[in-house]
Amino acid sequence: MKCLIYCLPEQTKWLKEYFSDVQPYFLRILNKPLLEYYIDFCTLVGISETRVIINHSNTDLESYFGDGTQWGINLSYGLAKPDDSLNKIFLKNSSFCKDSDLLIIFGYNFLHYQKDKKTYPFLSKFNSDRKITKEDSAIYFLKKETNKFKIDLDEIPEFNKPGFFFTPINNIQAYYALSINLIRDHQKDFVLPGYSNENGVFLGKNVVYPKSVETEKPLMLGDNVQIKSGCKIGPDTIIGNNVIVDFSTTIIKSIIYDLCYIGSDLEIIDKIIHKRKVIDPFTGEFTQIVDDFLVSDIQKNIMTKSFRQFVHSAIALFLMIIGAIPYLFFLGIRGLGHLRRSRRLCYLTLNGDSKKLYYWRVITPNFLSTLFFRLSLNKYPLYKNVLKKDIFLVGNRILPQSSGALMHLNKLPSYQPGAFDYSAMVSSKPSEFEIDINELYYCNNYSLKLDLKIFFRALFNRFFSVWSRIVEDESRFIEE
Amino acid sequence: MTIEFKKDGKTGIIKIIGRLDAANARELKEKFQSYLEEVIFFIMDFSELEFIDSTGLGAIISSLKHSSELNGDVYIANLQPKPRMVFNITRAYKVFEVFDDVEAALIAIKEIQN
Repeated sequence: MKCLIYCLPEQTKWLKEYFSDVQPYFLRILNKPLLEYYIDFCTLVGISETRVIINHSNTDLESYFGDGTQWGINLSYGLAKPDDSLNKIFLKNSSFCKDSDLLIIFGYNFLHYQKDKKTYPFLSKFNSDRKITKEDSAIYFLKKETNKFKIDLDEIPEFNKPGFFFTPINNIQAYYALSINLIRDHQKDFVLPGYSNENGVFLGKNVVYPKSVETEKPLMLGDNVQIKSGCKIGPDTIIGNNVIVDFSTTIIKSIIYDLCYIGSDLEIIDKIIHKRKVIDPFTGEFTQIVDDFLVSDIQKNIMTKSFRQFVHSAIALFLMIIGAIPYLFFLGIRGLGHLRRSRRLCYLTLNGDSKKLYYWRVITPNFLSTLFFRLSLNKYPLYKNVLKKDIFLVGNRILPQSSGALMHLNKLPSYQPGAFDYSAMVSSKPSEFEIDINELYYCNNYSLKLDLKIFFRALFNRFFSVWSRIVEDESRFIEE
Repeated sequence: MTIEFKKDGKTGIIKIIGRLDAANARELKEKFQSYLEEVIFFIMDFSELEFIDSTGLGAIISSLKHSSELNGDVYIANLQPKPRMVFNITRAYKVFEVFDDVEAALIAIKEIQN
């Protein structure tokens, strides 16, 4: 038997609001990614081949799960358009789906299996196609003989007493209720991360807390958790990996997601905390905390980021020094060059934080004005912003504030605006779609090495490009 | 990079072997224009595509654009893990229909053609 895992983007749409940077299958339930539960289940019931259909743009999932060898399973991935029906998915994955019985996990669900239960009769004893449905989700069991390309899924009969059920995770309330229910009553059903020295307590690696910390089970602490003295943790509390809880804070019936700092003397009861977001899991309302000393996110790879930023700043400083005289010269004769300097509010972060940045425009192109742009002197005011760490020297394209730009921003997995961007290093004029692709490519592959490549190529391109190409580059900044 | 072209009825099957990047994206664009004189529906067989970058992807998108202008389409088949990563991170999967193999893509195209 094989297993096909697929959910529609609309079934996970709610995640975006609360866990914007978390991929659906990576959402941690009791500190374990959802997909890992699926894989555990497949291994448990003897399914050796599983395919996950992906319709979101990120490669972390594949990097983490790889080909499934670690779990003793053959895991592969397929791609789908956002609106693909299950029938279309069968066709697109035809070589996987044919020649075997097929279990399909359709929707964003949590499967309630039990790790000690060795047999699941509903998997071995079904003689014809069956399904279990709940809300907008379903689990289908299709026989090998079924022509999966022409099947009417609505016509498949429901399983009678399958002895197995699942919970759709279709909103934040369901996520919270499920997590608390599992830690309270079903922790023994699953293989959970961490070691357990007593019932109802799970501790990850490198957990540090003094004796003065009061704990009440059930309780789960992830890897690298530090809890300072005087804190009270639990019951019904799940704390993720890399979390610091400062002095005398109380956390009860709450979920603290990975990479988070919780300040001192706080009382967190019935809450979900993800980075700076404090979420009420009953109403779905949330607050974004701006004070670092209350709740803040802990950034990964901070050393690498700092070094990258340092190199960017050093180059920007160098460019400011060598460009000072030519820039002042052009500033003095800007009338002759038909150059005009303006300021515009531009986005600096994915959250929509913005700041006014200078840009130059040409009223009528002539030798002086084109030379000004060819020498990239129009970027000169931005180097100051690089030194202030508002922007990078090389990064995503700078987006001036507008509703269209905000929509574009929402599509990106990360946003680090830069004076030079990936599209500027491409010699031929990119289309709007190609620019979007370049932006996404940059978001997923940026590194210091790539930044330097972009920087030098962009300088070279600008100097030797035709004027219309330079205008095209600048218009992306000015006319958004 | 080597490009092989054959026809299956009203569908053109383009097999790209090797790397598709800035160095040869233009070649694909030019060849595609000539194929477009014969058919408007295409399957790009990527079973032997080793590498693709954003320029290469741009060439495929440009092919899709030209084909769509004539009411045709471009389907992708046999996408290998490394190029799939590029399709994934650039969200190109939202634009293209990606199939396990050429046969399945042919079935899907024939449904549209009929």
